[in-house]
Amino acid sequence: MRAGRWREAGAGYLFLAPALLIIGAFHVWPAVYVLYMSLFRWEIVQGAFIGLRNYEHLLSDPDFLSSLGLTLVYVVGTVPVEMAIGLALAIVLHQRLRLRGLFRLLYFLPYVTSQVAVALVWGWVFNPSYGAANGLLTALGQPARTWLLESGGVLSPGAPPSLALTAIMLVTIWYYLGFHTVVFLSGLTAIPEELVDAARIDGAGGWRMFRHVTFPLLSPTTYFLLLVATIGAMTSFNLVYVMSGGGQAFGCGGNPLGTTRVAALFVFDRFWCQTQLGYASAAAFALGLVVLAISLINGRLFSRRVVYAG
Amino acid sequence: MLYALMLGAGLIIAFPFFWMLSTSLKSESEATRFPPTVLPGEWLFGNYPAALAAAPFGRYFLNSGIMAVGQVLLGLATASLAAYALARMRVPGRSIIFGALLATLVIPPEVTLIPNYIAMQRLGWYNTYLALIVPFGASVFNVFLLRQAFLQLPAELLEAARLDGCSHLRFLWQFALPLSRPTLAIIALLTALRAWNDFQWPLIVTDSPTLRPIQVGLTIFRSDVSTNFQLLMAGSLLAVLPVLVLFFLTQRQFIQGIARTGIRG
Repeated sequence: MRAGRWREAGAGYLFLAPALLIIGAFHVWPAVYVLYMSLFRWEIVQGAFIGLRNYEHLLSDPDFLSSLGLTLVYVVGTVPVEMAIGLALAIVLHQRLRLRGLFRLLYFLPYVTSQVAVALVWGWVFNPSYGAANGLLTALGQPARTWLLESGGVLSPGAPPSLALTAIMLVTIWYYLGFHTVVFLSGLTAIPEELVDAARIDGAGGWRMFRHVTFPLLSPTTYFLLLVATIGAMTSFNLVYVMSGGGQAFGCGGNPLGTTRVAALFVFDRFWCQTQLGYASAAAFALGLVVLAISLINGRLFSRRVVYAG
Repeated sequence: MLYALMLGAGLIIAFPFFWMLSTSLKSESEATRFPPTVLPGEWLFGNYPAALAAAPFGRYFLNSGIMAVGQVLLGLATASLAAYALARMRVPGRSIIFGALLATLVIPPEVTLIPNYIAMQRLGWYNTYLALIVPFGASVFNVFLLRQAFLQLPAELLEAARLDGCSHLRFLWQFALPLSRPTLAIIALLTALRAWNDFQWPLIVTDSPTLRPIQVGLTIFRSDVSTNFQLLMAGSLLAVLPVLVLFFLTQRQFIQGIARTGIRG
């Protein structure tokens, strides 16, 4: 019996080994190694140890500071909007609407397609000379815009978001809308019908039902979506990269005039386009800490949702 | 009224797909006409062979396919073994291991990009399929989902099999996996989707057309055909087509999978 138990334990560790090895080597170790790299002058090859100099440099780098600001604008401009519209669509779909499956399929379509391909399509829609967006403006008697090439602010001329970043934010909302709709819909389906019926007998309906019954019961889903959407938007790369610079050149610079250079783009620019690996690691680590802080604040809710989700 | 609203939202969401298709069938002179025409005056299906001839799309598709299949097979294997050990074997410290695995979920994948790039260089994996597959060959989320599925199997089944001298590996293969098919399907679908659509990682670890997957190939194609928008749209449509077909065939599992796991790409 004893020997059998040891054998089973040994086999168990063997079963666990491949997964632990891959997750350890390519997910956990790099998170430590990025900190190590950030303490060096590291361009194409590893250079001198420079302590926290990269971090000091970050704090005085206007490109980095502006990328943090742009990331905040991007998060605030996309997450609440996609969540609100997603919730509204989910509530309507939840009414046992006919063709519900068809609508759900339609709304979900962008989310399964590749961000590169849809970014190229949207880049074409926003093309300054021949794009459909300008076609629509012209048909409405409005002057044409240059969209992804326009660095001027939408709210006020000098302030972010530029029209270029706004266009990218619209595409982001378009892309993730279906994801929020589907997750909200499954949250709505999980609400016990007795509770809703009881509230209805007590005279609740319409807005009051939503405000006092549906929305509170939906809160685990809402918090969960808020968390993943915020983290996703904070580290958003593909859509911004492919559309920056009007979709014609590679988007490292976050053009026009750096107005679309969000944090992930800044990291990639310093890492890949300028091969300052140590400096880019410092920026990535700093960004990672912010993301980690957000997950930990919501950690309890997150783990609860994960357990519930299974 | 509600229908009008839902339909309006649906049309806005579907518009870029329509526009991609419509442009892809126009002539070059029609694609660059302003204001644009809604439907092509003449339907040029020849744009598709032209796009395929303008870049090694066949190779790109093959590479993406190898990457997706490789990640799915390796991912299923590592997750099944680990999840089975965590759910059904007496392994000392398994709750600690499971807790540690869950804790790694808070590490944002973005911080791992630069060190993993260095690792690929040092391992000599740069520009190989290994770089495209192995780092994504295990996922905590998949282990978690499969562990849940294995925990729901009746305990008597395992006991009876063990009494008959069935090894754990055989039990896993003959009973646990076949009984967990829905979970395996969700994992396979989501992994394949993620792999097919991945861009940033393959962009930095491949630099030859023979290894390049479709998403990276598409951005190269964009620079090559710069003003031939009808070809660019044809290429983009080809790149999303396999996923759309897979999605339409499996939409039930797909949507339920996303709703259940809440994976946001």
